[in-house]
Amino acid sequence: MHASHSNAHAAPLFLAVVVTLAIAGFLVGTGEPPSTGTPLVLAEHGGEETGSRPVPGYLSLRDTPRTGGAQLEADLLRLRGPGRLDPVDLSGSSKPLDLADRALNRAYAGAPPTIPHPIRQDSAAECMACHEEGLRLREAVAAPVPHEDFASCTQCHVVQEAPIPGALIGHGTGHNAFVGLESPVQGPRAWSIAPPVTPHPIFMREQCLSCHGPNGRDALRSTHPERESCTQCHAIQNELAQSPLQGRSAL
Amino acid sequence: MSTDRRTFLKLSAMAAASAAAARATGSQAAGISAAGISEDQARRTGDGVAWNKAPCRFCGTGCHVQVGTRGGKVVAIAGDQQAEVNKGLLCVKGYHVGLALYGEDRLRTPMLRNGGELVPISWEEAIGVIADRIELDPAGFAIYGSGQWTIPEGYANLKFMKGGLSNNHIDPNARLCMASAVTGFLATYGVDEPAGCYDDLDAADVVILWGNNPAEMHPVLFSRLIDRRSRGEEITLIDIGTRRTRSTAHAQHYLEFKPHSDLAIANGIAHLLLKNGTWDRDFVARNCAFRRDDEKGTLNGEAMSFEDYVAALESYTPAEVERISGVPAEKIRLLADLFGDRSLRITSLWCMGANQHTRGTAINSLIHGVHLLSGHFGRPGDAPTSLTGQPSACGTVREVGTLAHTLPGGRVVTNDKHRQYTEEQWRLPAGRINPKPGHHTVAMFEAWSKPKKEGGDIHTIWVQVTNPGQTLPNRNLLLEPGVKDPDKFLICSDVYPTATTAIADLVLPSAMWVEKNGMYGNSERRTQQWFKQVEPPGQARDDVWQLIAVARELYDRGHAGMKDKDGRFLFHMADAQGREVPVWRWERYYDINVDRALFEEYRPFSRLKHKDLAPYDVYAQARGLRWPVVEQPDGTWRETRFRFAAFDDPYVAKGREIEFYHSTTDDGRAQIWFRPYGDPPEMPDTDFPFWLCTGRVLEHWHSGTMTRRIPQLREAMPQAYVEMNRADAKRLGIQNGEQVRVESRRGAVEVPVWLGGRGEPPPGSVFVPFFDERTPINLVTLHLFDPFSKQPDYKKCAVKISRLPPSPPPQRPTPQRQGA
Repeated sequence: MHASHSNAHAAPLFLAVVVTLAIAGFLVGTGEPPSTGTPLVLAEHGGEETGSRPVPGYLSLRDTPRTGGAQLEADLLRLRGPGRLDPVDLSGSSKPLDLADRALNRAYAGAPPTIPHPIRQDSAAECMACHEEGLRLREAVAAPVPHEDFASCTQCHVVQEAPIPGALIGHGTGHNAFVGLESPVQGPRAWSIAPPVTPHPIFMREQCLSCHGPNGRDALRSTHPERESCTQCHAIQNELAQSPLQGRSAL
Repeated sequence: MSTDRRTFLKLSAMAAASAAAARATGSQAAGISAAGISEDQARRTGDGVAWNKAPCRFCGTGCHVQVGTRGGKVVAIAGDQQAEVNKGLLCVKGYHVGLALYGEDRLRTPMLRNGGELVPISWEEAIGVIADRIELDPAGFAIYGSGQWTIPEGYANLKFMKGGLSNNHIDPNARLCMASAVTGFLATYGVDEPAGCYDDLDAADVVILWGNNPAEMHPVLFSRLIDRRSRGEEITLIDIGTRRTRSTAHAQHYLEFKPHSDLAIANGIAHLLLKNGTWDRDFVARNCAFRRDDEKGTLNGEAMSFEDYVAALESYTPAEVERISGVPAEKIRLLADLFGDRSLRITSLWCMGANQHTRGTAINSLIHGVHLLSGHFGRPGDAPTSLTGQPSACGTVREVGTLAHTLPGGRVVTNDKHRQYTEEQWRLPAGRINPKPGHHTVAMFEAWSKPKKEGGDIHTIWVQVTNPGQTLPNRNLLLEPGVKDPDKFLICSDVYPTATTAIADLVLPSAMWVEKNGMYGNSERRTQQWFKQVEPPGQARDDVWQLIAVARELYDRGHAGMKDKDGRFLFHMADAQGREVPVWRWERYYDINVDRALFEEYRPFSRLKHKDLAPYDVYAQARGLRWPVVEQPDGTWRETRFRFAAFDDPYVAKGREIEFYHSTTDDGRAQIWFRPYGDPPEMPDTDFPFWLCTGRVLEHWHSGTMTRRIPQLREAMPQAYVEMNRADAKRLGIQNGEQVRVESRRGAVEVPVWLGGRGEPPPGSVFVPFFDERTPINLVTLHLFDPFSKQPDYKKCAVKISRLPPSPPPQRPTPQRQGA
């Protein structure tokens, strides 16, 4: 569904790819040859026995700052995640998987996601350590909260796995036949290359880059996260708009 | 990503695509007849989903949700942005409320116990069985209802029992929940329910939680409060509690008190207000009087002079209060200094901690008293506001009046005029209503569990919309003997198998929430309405229909009580042309809007106590309205945010700033009570050395019959546990996660220990939530109750914690010694 307009993006995309590759190539090229992923083995540290990577000394770091080599560089790149100029997959091929993956921890489109990691049960104070700005650690992404002002995180978001040690007597009750509303796939466009209308309401999702920013799922990422005024071009899906400005209707 | 997961995702994606395709071919929501939602009231979105409003099914906060339906099923939920209560936000239960309809073990057919097994029967047979039980002895029949009854459900049941059977044995589970709040309001103001509303949370400078954990129990209200901090506002949150909770994490001050000693704390504040001269002389002189218990123990007590009041509080010095409560004296001074500062706006919140208390009426009236004495009343943000746990404990139980002693609109059966008015409204012959109050909840189940020859005068209880098998205290005393007695019969209308259906003789499948029309009334006097949006499963039917069908069966059998004075059916209903509609026939039930008819019949009752209700159709257009809803000259209806205060309440006499116009002393004054601290009836001792507190958790609502069938909530909180202090666990050698026995003089359960979890009690206290029917903690709790409200104390009793004997090691064959 992107094919019709992908040409329009081709030139900047090509540039972006070239620049990114050049930067990455420069950094990687100045280190050691690309690693196959197995740990470096340095005999004098007895690496075979522990299987761990040796810790470089301060002196060696001073003398050869990139002792960690390509592996470290690659890790750092992954830590950084895709950059703002990294290419975005516009083929649409990853979209069904990305949307399905996103749906895994939501009961229906629009439901608050459940939490895929343990949390402190007695306070929500720690949530914002990762979720205020958002970050990526290898595959794991902590999305920045898309709704400011709400401080009682655990009111809406619960863990996927019970924290009570033991889990002794099981869950008890059986299957639930609820079938949730599926994710919207694509916002409508007035014509083939018009900016799409958001396919979902944005109440509680005011920070678009939470999902559509550089750390978002591939198929959801914006090609132009540097343009920060999203609603300048993208109209808001208004079908379920419940703004009080519309008056007290029956709905 | 593993191969399995990828395969699963692909399948999910395909399923989503097929669903989208099916939608595109034009499948639409199943049509609901005219008395349910009309097509033009739902808003349809491009994805084929019809959206309509409903209050949430769960707690007493009263959030509105938008319910998304498609193909006759609920498929999505959204917070309702037009709802003033929640402004678009919900809690995790509310976001998943739609899933409560779809647990696969929904009850779908009536069932009668036969040889120990529940056997499917027809609705006709089921209605006949109930009529038989009533005819056996109408005076020994009882209904045990609920704060989850809709307003029309409660009203129909009340009319059936008190008007039809001349029988007052009808009481609700709210007796276990907020009865002490009612008696606290009545004793103080002469009329029930809070003067303030949730708007006070937006205006208060100081909010005090009295034994209350709204972060888990009223999460949307808690957010409404603390989210003000995110906007740069300053609020002081004070948690007066017996264990640390999620609410404590947001509080500036945590005042940990010994269970039951909240009375001493309130008295300590009053003592200092008087001592420091910081009480509000003008406010008290104009609007208050002083009161104490009389010898007969009546709810209204007797007047006391100001000098006597001062003398009675003399001993509650900060040092003495510290000795009783364990709260440091300087924290008592902190509270008194805040109350002594009239420039602050102070809101108090409380719920089960103050209500489920053998001195529940006392602590409720003391909290009101501290606000009145200090003048923190009657301005936005200055309010003592009790919260309720059930969605219509206020609207149905307290306003309709589904208690053993009440009639609609704040009337009581013992008052001749009230009976007479009610008989006239119901078109009954004079004298139909019995002037003697029926059994309250604990007495009702005691009478059911006692053999007839020993005076157990209840033979049958019809349980509706509640689960006493799990929630009654001391079940071994109140339920088990009746279950074993062949003369006793239990009927249960519900939506899922529960601890009550497990012991019921007749089980009836009910429609729930948006499977029927309904009305609720929340904690802030807000009356709410919703329309039926989907069909109930199988043969499940509306609770009101079940009742009317039984009434009609009795009518057809010639029961005189089911006729009004003109011989018409007690639940006579007519269409717009005045033709009678046989709503007792299920296929005709939705020919008219039965809820609307019942509500319009009930509405005139609301005027006596100035709790004016608007017409049904006004509520259909609103996200609830707070009574008194007063008609304006231009025909619009205006709700009231703050009662008794001239700035907002139209019933305050001209020229007065404050008027308590239902004063028990008929002089416009509220009562400031003196109530002394006294030890609770059961305290830890050497045999049972721990305090036990029971309560709820965020994920589960009450006995968990709905929320435990919602995967997201069940996975997050799959089972009950006992929370204890780490020092106690260390001393007893108990490991985190270890299964232990929690035992009182009445019963025991085995649950795992959770250390450092959701909350933490102080040494010597433990906490167990009551949502899990597999570990029924109410085998352990105390059935002793407050003398005025008859509400039992689930928050404190004495227990011991014991480690379980190690399970015997698995048998292994004795190893054969090898020869040397």
